[in-house]
Amino acid sequence: MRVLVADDHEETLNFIRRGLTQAGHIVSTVDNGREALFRATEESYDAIVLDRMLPGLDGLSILKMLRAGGIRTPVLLLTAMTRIADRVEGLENGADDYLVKPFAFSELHARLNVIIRRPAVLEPETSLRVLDIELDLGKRIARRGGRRIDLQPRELLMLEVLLRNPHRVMTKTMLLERVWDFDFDPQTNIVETHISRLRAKLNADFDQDAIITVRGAGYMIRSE
Amino acid sequence: MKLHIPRTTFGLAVMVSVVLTALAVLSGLVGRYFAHEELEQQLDHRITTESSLLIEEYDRGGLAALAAMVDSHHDRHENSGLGYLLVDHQGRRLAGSLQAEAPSKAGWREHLYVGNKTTGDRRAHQALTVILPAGERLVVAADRMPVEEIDAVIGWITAGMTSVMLMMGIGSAWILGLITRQRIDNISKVANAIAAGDLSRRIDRNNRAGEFDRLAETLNRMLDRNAELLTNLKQISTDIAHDLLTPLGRLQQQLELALTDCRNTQDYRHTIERAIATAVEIQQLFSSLLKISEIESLTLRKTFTPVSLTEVAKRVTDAFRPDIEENGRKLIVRLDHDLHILGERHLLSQLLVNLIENAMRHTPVGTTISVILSRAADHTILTVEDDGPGIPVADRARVIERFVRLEASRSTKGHGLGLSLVKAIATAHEAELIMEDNAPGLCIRLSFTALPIRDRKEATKV
Repeated sequence: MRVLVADDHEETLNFIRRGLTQAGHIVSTVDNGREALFRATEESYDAIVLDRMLPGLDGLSILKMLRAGGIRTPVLLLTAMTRIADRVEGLENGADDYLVKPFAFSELHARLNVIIRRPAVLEPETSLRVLDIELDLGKRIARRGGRRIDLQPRELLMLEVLLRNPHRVMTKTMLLERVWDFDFDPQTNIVETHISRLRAKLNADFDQDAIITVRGAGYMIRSE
Repeated sequence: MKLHIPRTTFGLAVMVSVVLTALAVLSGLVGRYFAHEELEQQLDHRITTESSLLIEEYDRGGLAALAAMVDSHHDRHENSGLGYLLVDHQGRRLAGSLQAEAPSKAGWREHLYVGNKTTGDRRAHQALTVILPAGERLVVAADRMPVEEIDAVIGWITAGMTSVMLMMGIGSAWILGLITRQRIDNISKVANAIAAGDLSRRIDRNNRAGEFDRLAETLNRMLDRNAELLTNLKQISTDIAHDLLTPLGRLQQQLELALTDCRNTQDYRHTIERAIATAVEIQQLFSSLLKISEIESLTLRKTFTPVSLTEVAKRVTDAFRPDIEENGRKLIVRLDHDLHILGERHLLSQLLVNLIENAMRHTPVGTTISVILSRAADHTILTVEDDGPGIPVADRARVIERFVRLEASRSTKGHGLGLSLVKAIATAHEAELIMEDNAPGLCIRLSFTALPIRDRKEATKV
């Protein structure tokens, strides 16, 4: 996929470019706001990584102009870690996701993958299915190989997040946000604990592990 | 023209006394004017009365009777300052002894100079001249002496009073300016000393309850508070440096170890992963510090919306139950339904997470942790308590300060920022934080202002 990365910090730019290129993506980089806006409107990208603070034109203004101009390219906003309000503002102005600096590359990659394949309009689904695992969204019942598995509400929600994103790694931070609505990282390993409980319940009497742990990155549902 | 108003106390006081003096001069002049007019009228009245008497006599008995009466009146009134003169049409004296030239025109003359037979000097008289049908002129004059004397007396009194007033005014202005300057110099001296670095200086004050003493007291209080904040800041800088040195030192060791001991790619990988974990730890320390400062700046209040504290508490306790139980502790949760407050849900989640993690970290296995949410009058009370070792009374206020950790060894994980963040979030939500003895254990109670019912509808909609 083609990704536009706009950041005025050369090291960050190289860091992201190297990582995404190695992962097989085509990367364009710009270091100022005006060029970022020009490239985003003139060319077609699958995703844009936009720093909030850019010389020339700030990230938020670029985002507003793009959305006002009808350009729906998914945007991942990068914000400095100091401002809580910035993130809210970014999402309200049409960002698809945000990432707080400093970040790990695996987190950026995982989030990019999720926003690129996020359908523009969520179709109402009644159930989710990946391989032999099925989740009835209406009745909130999970089954594996046709057999019902009893899950706690948060375990069901975590399974739903994993099933909605097959082939994609969900990082610890993404799970904290989507399952518990935590925008911070508790010191307790609550994600690990809940994943291991969910895994134990899903794997009971099955040989194949339903959840894949991607070292240093996160978790994904086994889809093949 | 721009009016120049003095800026010093002395100048202002002088200006006020000059204005007051001018007013006193004016009132003296006005008084003198009215007294003068009144006296002149009295003189006129006396002269008019005398003249009409004489004219009546003339009408009755002719010129001879008039002349006789003039002479007799002259003798009678010589010492009361009245003088008479009757001359024929050629100006020759017929009667009366007024030592003056009779005016040729009829009517009033304010200043007719009359000689005195005994002393020989000439004095101003007020005179009325009446011309009789045959051309004779009758002059009745009164000495102006009383008018002039009163004029002079009032003039002297006014001049004396105003010069005394002006002198006293300028004198007290000078004293006032001197005292003010002295007190202000005193304050300036202290301010200069503080600017030069002597932060312990304070403004002297006498124990009188004057405005300068009150000002000194206020300024001293401000200086005390600043000194306290500065000490706090210095302490925090030292603590940050200390807490940063430890992980940085570890990072260096890990990297040096990688250089000397790593034999293969897997070794390198493992060491680099540990180094990254250390770097993340350093980032988290700074991120927590910045978060506390951001919350303490209170600008976040703008973003507050109605939040269901019940929902937050349920979500957080659900998230932690497995870990708490796996760590051999018990969790009791008692939440009243639908308790709403005005706030920020992520911060409120973090507040409860920190309290629960704190309780997990500082209690032995077998401890029971309780999270209770209840309503009391117009307050929503969030309580997190445990039956662990608790915190000694003396340390309770201290543990909410940044970087304070009670174990001297600093062996447990964390930077001592957890409760500081709780305190900052509580303050942002205008909630009172109370630490109590749970006998045994610690009880932390937060009292939030509950949201009135009509606002709660909004919360359920969102």
